[in-house]
Amino acid sequence: MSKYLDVLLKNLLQTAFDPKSYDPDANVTLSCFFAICTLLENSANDTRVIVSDFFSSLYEALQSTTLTGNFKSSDVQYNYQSYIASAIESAIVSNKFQMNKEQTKAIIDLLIKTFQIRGSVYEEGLLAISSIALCKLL
Amino acid sequence: MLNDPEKQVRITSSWCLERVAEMFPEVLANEKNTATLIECILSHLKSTNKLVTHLCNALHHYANYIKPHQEQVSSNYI
Repeated sequence: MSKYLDVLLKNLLQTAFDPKSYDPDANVTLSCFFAICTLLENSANDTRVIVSDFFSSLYEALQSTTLTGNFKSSDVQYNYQSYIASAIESAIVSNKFQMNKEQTKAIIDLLIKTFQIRGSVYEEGLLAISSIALCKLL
Repeated sequence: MLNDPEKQVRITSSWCLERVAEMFPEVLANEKNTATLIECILSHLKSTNKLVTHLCNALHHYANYIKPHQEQVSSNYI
């Protein structure tokens, strides 16, 4: 599977952000992130570079969700943030790469920004932050 | 069948593929079938939402199968 991981992750993320993908009847966005999380968690050791590169894409994706104009409603925006936070957690739990101090600060600041946008915390965001903390402690 | 002109046939085929990946992932776990599954998923990502949902779920089930399977194989060596 390793040789397909890069193209799969990129295409799944692209499909997840397709405007027609977020459909309450058949939520392609949710299925795409579901697959992304599983692929990241079960990725082999020879995919470190791919997972590390994809983490940057996830960061950019989460950053794009901080702009309200990109989404139909705040519910859709918040769901995207939850999905991406889950994928970030999966990437970190996979233990395929090490973040430096600046990267760690940047991702935590961005997750905190998503809390501030909502005016509350959300489970997936908290889990992502806790996985970063665990990864730094171990 | 995923390229059938009838939409319902395409959707039902993707549902079947999802069920196979969930219930019998071992039949997909070889080089040829993995390549076919991945190509099939990548070429249909722009298709209708229901079809794409089933294919993504199939990928999820298959990816979930691979890791425990690999661990089992390595533990057998031990």
